[in-house]
This record gives sequence, structure tokens and C-alpha cells, in this order.
Amino acid sequence: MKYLAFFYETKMAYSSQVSSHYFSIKALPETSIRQKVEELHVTVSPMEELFESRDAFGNRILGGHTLEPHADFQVVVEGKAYVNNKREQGKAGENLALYKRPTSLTEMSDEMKEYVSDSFIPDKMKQEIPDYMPYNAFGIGDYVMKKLYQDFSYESGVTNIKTTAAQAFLGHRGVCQDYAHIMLAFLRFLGYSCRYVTGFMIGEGATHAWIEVYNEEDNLWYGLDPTNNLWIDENYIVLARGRDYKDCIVNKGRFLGLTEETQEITLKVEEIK
Amino acid sequence: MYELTDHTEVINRLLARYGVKFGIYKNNVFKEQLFPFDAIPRIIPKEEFDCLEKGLKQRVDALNLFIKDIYGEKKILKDGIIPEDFIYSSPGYLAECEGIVPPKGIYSHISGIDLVQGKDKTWYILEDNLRVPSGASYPMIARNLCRRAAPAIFRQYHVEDNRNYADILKATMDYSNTGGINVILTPGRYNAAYFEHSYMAEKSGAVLAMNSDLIVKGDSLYFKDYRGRDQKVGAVYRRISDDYLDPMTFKEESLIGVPHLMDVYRKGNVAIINAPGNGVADDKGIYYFVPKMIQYYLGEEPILNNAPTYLPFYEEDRKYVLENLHKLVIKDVAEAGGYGVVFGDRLTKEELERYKEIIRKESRRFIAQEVIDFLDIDIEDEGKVVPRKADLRAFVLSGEETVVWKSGLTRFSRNPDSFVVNSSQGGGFKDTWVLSQ
Repeated sequence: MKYLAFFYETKMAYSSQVSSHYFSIKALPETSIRQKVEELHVTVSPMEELFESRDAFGNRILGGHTLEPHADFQVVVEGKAYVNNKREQGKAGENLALYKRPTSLTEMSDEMKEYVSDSFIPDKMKQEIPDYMPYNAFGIGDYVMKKLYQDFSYESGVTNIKTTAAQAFLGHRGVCQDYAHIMLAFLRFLGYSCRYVTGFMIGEGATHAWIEVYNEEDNLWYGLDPTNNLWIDENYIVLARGRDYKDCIVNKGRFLGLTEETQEITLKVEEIK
Repeated sequence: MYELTDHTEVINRLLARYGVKFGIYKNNVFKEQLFPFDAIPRIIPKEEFDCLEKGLKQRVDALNLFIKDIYGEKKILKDGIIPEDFIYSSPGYLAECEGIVPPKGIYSHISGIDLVQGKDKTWYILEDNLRVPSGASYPMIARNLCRRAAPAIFRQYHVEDNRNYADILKATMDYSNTGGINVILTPGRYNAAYFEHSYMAEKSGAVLAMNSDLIVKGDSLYFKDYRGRDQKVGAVYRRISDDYLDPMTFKEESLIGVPHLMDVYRKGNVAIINAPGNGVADDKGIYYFVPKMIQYYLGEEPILNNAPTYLPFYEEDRKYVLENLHKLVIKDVAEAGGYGVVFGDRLTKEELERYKEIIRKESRRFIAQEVIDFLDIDIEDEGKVVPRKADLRAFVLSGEETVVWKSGLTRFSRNPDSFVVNSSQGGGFKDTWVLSQ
């Protein structure tokens, strides 16, 4: 178990004033079997109205609005969390079928299908998956992750938040969001329920994204981070889960105004010893 | 009642004055046109309507249970009555609505069920409209004008009064209302049904509001009144589609929606009429399964029949459809408003082959139906009475009880060769008389 302190700040600056600004923030970590959140403190400014709610995937939302004109907008989320290596259990009534289907961001292209049929042949996987790994959703997820990590390179600036898995696949490069989308597309194509996860990772300077795949045998969701080729452990704090990026947007806003928007994100996650 | 045609001209002129219009987008240009009224009413005898009423209530009750099941337990999928794929690939299914239980558990408050009558007098269900079905205002105002133009006729015939629609609508809104005022949310005057929005608001006592009049504060939705005071809203009869309803949950670029409305709705603090996500039940592919839903949820045999329908998704049906395409109607499940409807007998050999190819490739995208030999009804065309194809949109309202409005919108095609009567395709409308004895 690790005791982590986190500080997340996003600062928006608008070149000219905006108004009627509505926002939904999904950056409130919650206590669960794997993380115990303490001293959570959130500031939103400027802000006229703030309330809490939840979405269809169970994520906590901080909603509100700022109707008066403003040229800056800032969200700070800070707190502490005890994090362990436990895996989240499948909940009764969870819609596993939904997590098995492609979304607009995780649709398989012909090139991707070719890659999957070349790379993820059941007989070959059975042989190559090491003995200490089970041949199930977790084992195959791990296999897919390793292959992806090997064949893709991390590069920022070549993709953006609207890039689909198919588009990112063409260049074999991208950021954590792209890695996660491609991995979701593959695992869903192979018949597994899996979901997109956003959160904080120790040492990262911005919010991170990874995936969880559901393993029927033990009713557990296995977290895998294809960007770093790592299993999710006590270095990760979960913020939100969904079908893809769109369900987990950290700071979703809508406002009136013709403006240039610049965003500055700061994240510090450190272990308290 | 043919003497009503003496008043056709004056009634149409009055309808134009009231702004009874509908608008359509064609080639990206918005065109508003009058909805021509034909004075000869469609008459439905009492016994016939009694049967329709029973069948419609049964159908809408089953559809409501179905939507509740889909966004909740999903028993009908687990029991294998409907293949999962038909639900999750339907554009009307919204994962964002998972787990929401609307006030009083009602999803389809206002259902517009389209029917046609065959030559043998049998009624067939053509389509269920459970999103924001429009059209009730047309027969309402037409009846009003007809009564003024020729009051004597209504003493002669025993016609059920249809001017109570707004009262039933109000009762329906009141029943689901969570505390607060009733609001009709309109996207504004460029919407095809704007006349209806304003007319219904006036007649039902609900407040006609645009999105800028509404705001979410805390856990509730408020309407800003003329003095700038916040009034709590308990029910929103929204006349905008799901996609545009709340930019924070659905299409971010929506400028006609109410931000955070879905948050208030999920908390159970406002009723949305009709519930978002209902599109999963009026999908043309799901239509095929409605008789099965009636058996599954109610344990009853369907009183009203679907038009004979084939689902190319199933191999047996696909074989039949490919062999008989030349005499079937093909419908693209993703299209609405009379678009994407193709009659096999109008296709050339090459076109038939092309359609067969598409059906083989994308079997989930289409349904095919037998062409129903419609019972023509009389319309007046340049002074002469001529037979034309027509359908009937019945309105079923679900509040404390399920009520079928004793009237309906009869739409006809002006073109003698056309089977498509949708108002988007340039037809006209009639009043529908339900006899009381």
C-alpha cells in the first residue's frame, strides 16, 4: 500500500471574455476497494453555481456554471489517498455487453483487423503466454498490451482528443488516450468487455488514461496501462471510467464567446512516507 | 358531412392565419409550408374505435415496460426474446440513460402510433413514435374551426369531442410532475412544429420556454419568469430531440439544449416528457419485436397486428426477402419521416440487384414489409371527391392511466400513386371523427 498526495490544476485562459460557461468536471477520485481518498479539496473559480451528480457509469461529477463574463477559469483538485493493488469487482447490474461493443472512437478499421488476425492467433498466444499467466481475459489483455507497447511509439502532438483508434493506428504513434483506444478496440474485437479509465499516476505531469478488462472467471476488472506496459497498481489513482474518452472527459465545458483558448495543466502525485 | 367541403377554403385561410404550418428541410434549405386541410373527415365507428383503443393501450403499456426493462434489468435480453445486438446497435439506445428511473416509472408519456386500414377493414400498426410525436394540434384546431363554420353538422352526427386533448396532456404532465410548473421546451419558431408547441402551451396552461429561460441550480431546474424570479420546474415537455437536450451529456455543440438537465433528471427532480432514450423502442428494427413484447410483459395476445414484417437479420426471413423483393416495401431503419422507404415494384432490375446486395451485406439495416392494400378514403380534389391513401396517427397518453385520445391525425397523399403519407413528403391532413354511438 502507498500513501499518495495529489495536486491537480487546470487553468484555462481565453483571449477574449467568455460568458454563460457551463462545466462538468470528472476529476473527483472516490473511495473504493483499491483507494481510500482523504482530505479531498476542490476549488473552481470563478464560479456562481456548483453541485454534485453522477453519470450513467457511476462517475462522480462536479457540475456548475459561471454566467458572468470571465477571461480565466481554474480548477484545483487536491487530496491524499491510500492506494493498494486490489482489483475492482464486477458489480451486479453492470452492463458488460456495452463494454464489449465498439464505440465511434474505438471502431476497428480493416488495417486493425488485419493486425489482430496476424498478431493475436489463439494457438500462438496459448504457446507464448508465460506459464505464470492465466489464459483468460487478463492473460490475453497482458499479451495484447505487450504487443502494442512493442509496436507503437509514444509521441505527443501527432494526435488530438478527437483522434479515433483507427486514425492513431495508421501512424503507430500517439499518447495514452490513443494507446487505450486501440487496446480497447482490439480486446472488444476479441470478445472481451473492457473500459476506458482516467486517473492520476505517480510521476505523470497530466491526467493519464489506461484500460480495465473484465475477467469472467473471478469477476474482477484487471487494469492494464499499455502506454507504460504496466499492470495497474498502487501508483495509480482512478478518477473515472467509461466506454471511451468521451465518457471520461476530465473538464467538459461549454460557453459563449469567440475566443482562443489555452490550457495549462499541472499534476503532482507524490508518495508520502 | 360532405357539406363541410363548402368551408374548405375559409378553414384553410383561417389555419394559415393561425400559423398552422410545418417546415421541412430539403437540400439544406428550410422551407415552411402550409399543411393543407381536407374538410371531409375520416369517420371511425364506435365499435371499431373501442377495439383500436384496447389494442393501443395494450401496445403502449408493453412498450413502456420494455423501455423500463432495457434501461434497467434487461430481462427480455437475458431471456433471449430480442437479440442484444438489436438494442445496442440502435441509434435510439442511449447508454447515458442507463439506470435512470423516471418519475412514476413512465418513459413514453405521449405516444404517436401510426396505423393504416386495409381493404378488409383490418387495422395494421405501421410505426410507433415514442420520441416527440407531433401532430395532435392539427385535428384539434381544425375541429374547432369546423364547428364554428358548420355547427349544425355536429348536432346531426354524434362525434366524440376532441378538444379535450390539452386536458389529457395537462393531466399527463401533472401526474409525472415532481413539484413545480409544467414547461414546454421549444427550439423556437424555426422548428417544423412550432405552431403546435405554442398552441399546446396555451391550451394546457404550461409555460412555453426556450432553453435560455431555463437554468439548473443545485439539484433542481428553474424557469426564470418575467420578473427574473426562479420558479421550480417539475415537468419538461421537451420538443427537441435527445441529441440536443443537454450539451453536457449529449452533443456538446447543441445551442438549443439545457446544460445539466440530465443531472437533475437522474436525481429524480424533474420529469422529462418523453423520456430520453425512448428511441430504442421505436426503432424500425425493434418494431418487429413489439408483438413478442406484448406476450412477454403482459402475457396477452396482441390485439392489433403489425404489418407483415420480415427481418433480413434472420436467415429464413432474408431468404424470403431476397426472393420477393419486387413486391415488398423496404425500409431503412435509420431513416425517419418517410425517407428511406422503397417500394420493390418501382425498382428497375439493376436497382433490385443493388438493393439485394446491400441487404446481404447490411442485413441489420433494413426491414421489409408486405404492401398493404390500403382502404382508400375520400378527399376533395379541385371540386371532385376522389379516393386516396391515408394513415392515422393515434395519440396515446400515459399518466395515472393510459388514455387513447378519441380522435387522431389522418394524413393523406395527394398523389394518387403514392403510398407515402408523411407530412414531410407534402401531403395534407384531415380531422378524425370517432363516433360516440
